Amino acid sequence: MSTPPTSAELGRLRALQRVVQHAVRSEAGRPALEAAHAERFEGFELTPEDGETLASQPLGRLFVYRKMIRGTLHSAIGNELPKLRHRLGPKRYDRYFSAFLEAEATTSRVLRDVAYEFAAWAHPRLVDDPEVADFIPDLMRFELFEFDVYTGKRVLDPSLEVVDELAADRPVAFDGTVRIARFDHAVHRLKDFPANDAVPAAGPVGVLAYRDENNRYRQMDLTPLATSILAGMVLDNKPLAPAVQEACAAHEVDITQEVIEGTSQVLADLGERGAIRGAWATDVPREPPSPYFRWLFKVAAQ
Amino acid sequence: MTSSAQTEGRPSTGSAEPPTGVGVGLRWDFLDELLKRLESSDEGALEALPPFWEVSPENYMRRGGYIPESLERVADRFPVITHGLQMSIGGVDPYDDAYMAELRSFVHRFGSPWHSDHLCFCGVDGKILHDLLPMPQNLGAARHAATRVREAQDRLGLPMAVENISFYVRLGHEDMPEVDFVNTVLDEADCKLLLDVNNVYVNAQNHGFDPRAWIAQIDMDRVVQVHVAGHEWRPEDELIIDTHGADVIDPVLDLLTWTIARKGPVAVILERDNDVPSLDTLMAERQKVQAAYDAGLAQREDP
Repeated sequence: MSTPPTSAELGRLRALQRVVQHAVRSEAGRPALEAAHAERFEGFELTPEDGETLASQPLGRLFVYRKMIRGTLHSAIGNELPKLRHRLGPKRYDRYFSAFLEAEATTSRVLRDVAYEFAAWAHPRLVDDPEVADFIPDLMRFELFEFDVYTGKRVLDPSLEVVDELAADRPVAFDGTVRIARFDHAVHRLKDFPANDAVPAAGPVGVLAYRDENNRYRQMDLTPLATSILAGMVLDNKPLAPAVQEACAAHEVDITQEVIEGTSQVLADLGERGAIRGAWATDVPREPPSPYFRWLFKVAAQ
Repeated sequence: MTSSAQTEGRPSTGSAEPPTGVGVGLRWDFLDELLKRLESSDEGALEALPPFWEVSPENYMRRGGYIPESLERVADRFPVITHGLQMSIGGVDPYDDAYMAELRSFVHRFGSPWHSDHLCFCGVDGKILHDLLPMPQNLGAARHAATRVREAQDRLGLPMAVENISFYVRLGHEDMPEVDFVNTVLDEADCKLLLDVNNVYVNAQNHGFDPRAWIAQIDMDRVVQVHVAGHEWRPEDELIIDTHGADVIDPVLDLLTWTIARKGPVAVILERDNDVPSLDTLMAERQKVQAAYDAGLAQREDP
């Protein structure tokens, strides 16, 4: 059996780790770190000998971690959000990245989650930024929406039984790659090329997307009513009947034959495309297929 | 996912015979090329491939689509060893329960004989910085790491191997040299070592010690796996950086040979993470590592 560390030893370790983290995340950069280095990192609750050891080495020894980590995270976010990076331009993108790192940083052990964490932090700030075009927050969310479809697991919990027949009182079992979103601009119609400078049309749009059997991204436009009906089913696991009833009530429309037939057609179409696997045999709670499943649909603050 | 579904068609964790020889770290850069080879009827194309692969679970966790499907196809044909990046063994935050549960599922799914991660921390106060950050080389830190390794072994349900890292700063006052720090962790945790000979070489150059003397102090019975990789001199930092972005240099290959002469057959992995070349070029590089490995075995037979 190993001897556990004392609380004092753990406290000492934590203080040293906070120095490294500060050196990496601080927006102030080298001048501020040089000052802290010269003062043996006073204020970090280091032991005198730990502070002395750090101060006795060139600051570059610590700074090399700052360069490496910021490079890794900068690339990880930019690679998942190439259109955002292009539209913001390198300077503004760098400013947002740097502010994010100091204010929030990353909490996931999965590197591809970093872009989601950045986007969740940046979204309200981009909305409020008068120098950023109105559609940019939507564009950023759409990039992750598309990425989430590409990377989603098809079957989230194989222990849950799925039956073939859809029924009005059963939740629909969508393929695990299905995502649904509302946007205020037709960002999903922009060409794929990241350097495309076209401005998307303004106006509310609903999009349902999934990954086909060849792992290709597929999407379909939805009417506002269809978006509400499907959002209830996809996001909240509502059975077909209450999903239609609640959506119609929210849109203040009657449940007409046209609504019922239209919904049936959409579901049949999704079934043929492989985006619906059947219906859940039991109405048990299921985990969302990705941490940002609901955020991708619609940002609450908008 | 049910446990039976996780292990279907593969040996259960720990039952697989540990591989020996020279494997390669699986990277997405050459995944298409590799899958073409696997589908090829050309025996020569298959023979040029390594006998096993190493994968980092964090790149596949909670993910569907082409990438994990490709890993399944590779794992159908080759043994896979898991090598983690973000456990943060030296971190002071509690382990992330969701991460550890996913990791356990992953390593059991692929029947890895052990799971390795680095003797480092990755963040503090709930933040993860996605790098391998050094621990202070003192007894308290070593005991903390050992306690965490034991906890990880319990949570994963299989042996852990810790990897010695490259480090560029001495983080705090030291009361022991690095090799003593590593040995203390190994003894206190009763765990295995993933000996990265390139990291020993890089640290030896940056901090001024003899890499062979360092390795000579390691109990070879603890070593279950060896890493080799390339590194680069960064004049602006006045440091050699462990970039995994260049070919393995001859002194590192010599150090591998010297190590294998003392250890004997073991699982060696060639790592390449940046400027990843074509599969053919990487396999040629693997042959160089294989030659160094074979030379070590020959020295062992004929000292």
